[in-house]
Amino acid sequence: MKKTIAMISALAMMTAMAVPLGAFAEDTTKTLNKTTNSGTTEVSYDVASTYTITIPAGITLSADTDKPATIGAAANLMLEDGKSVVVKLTSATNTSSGTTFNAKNSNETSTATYTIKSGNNTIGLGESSDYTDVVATFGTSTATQTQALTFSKATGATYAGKHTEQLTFTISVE
Amino acid sequence: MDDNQNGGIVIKKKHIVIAVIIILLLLVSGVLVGANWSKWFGGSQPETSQSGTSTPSLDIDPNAGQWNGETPQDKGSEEVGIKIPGYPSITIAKDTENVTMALLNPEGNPCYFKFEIVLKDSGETIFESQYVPPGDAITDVTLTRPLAEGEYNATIMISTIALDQETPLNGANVETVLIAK
Repeated sequence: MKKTIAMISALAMMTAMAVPLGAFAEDTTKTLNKTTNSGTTEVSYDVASTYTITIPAGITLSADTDKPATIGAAANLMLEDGKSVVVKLTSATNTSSGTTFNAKNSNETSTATYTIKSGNNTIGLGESSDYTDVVATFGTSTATQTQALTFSKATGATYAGKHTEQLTFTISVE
Repeated sequence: MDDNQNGGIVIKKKHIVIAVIIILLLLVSGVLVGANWSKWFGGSQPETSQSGTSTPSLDIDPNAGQWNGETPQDKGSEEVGIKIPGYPSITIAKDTENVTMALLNPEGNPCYFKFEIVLKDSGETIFESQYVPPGDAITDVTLTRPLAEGEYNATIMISTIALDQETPLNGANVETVLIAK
């Protein structure tokens, strides 16, 4: 019995040693010889896209003057060739569409209206040929990039108090 | 011949019990003093979180921890802005709810972040965090369900609340591709 077990063990060990190691490894080598005397090797380096966008935390509107704000892209923005980071204004808490935005008081009994421009472009919600929702576009750059926004004077409030609206910007690579 | 006769010290059972009680009392009082040191001797400084902001009453995500990775650069503007990190794509493990990614609220932001990951095709929310303080990140994410191998267009919805824990600020949606493999 012992002899049989010993023989089986020896056979198993011999079989294991006979299996070429290459059977378990990915074939990454190429043998060059007389008939195949050249080969190619690909060297690859994957660079991840990176970006950081700064949006305004909040804008304090005025009844007397327009207020400036900035959308920014941090330095060393890196994307694939031909791609850009596109920042759109896609929603606002009190405005569903159009170019007239609405800041409301806490009881929602008073509304102050205002408009937004990015450079010379009028910004609006929803699709229209009269305005755009794109507030900024940034490409690959080692430098900081900025896009100026202008928030118009607020008008039409019927009660005193703080009037607010939260804006949501959508950031994508296109 | 006993110990007294040799001039040695006789340690009785009573002495050992007293010694043990004294040691225990010292240990307990040491622990008490240590635990309450800042309360008794720390003055009136407010409690602070890891990021140095006031401890909020709102629900801070228990998975949020200090971020020691790369931090987005400050663009140097005086204007108060909210830094939103980009996520062009995120690679996660397939067929498991427990995945790793870095959902970061960059240091210096004037607000807490709340993250929600929504699959664009179905509108299904597969992850929702509690609030993450500036300088912290969530790296261990538990999805509502595992994702099979593949690519999924998704939106990371970031809602914000100011450090006063009351004022909602502007928010952002970041388009991304989840790569499960």
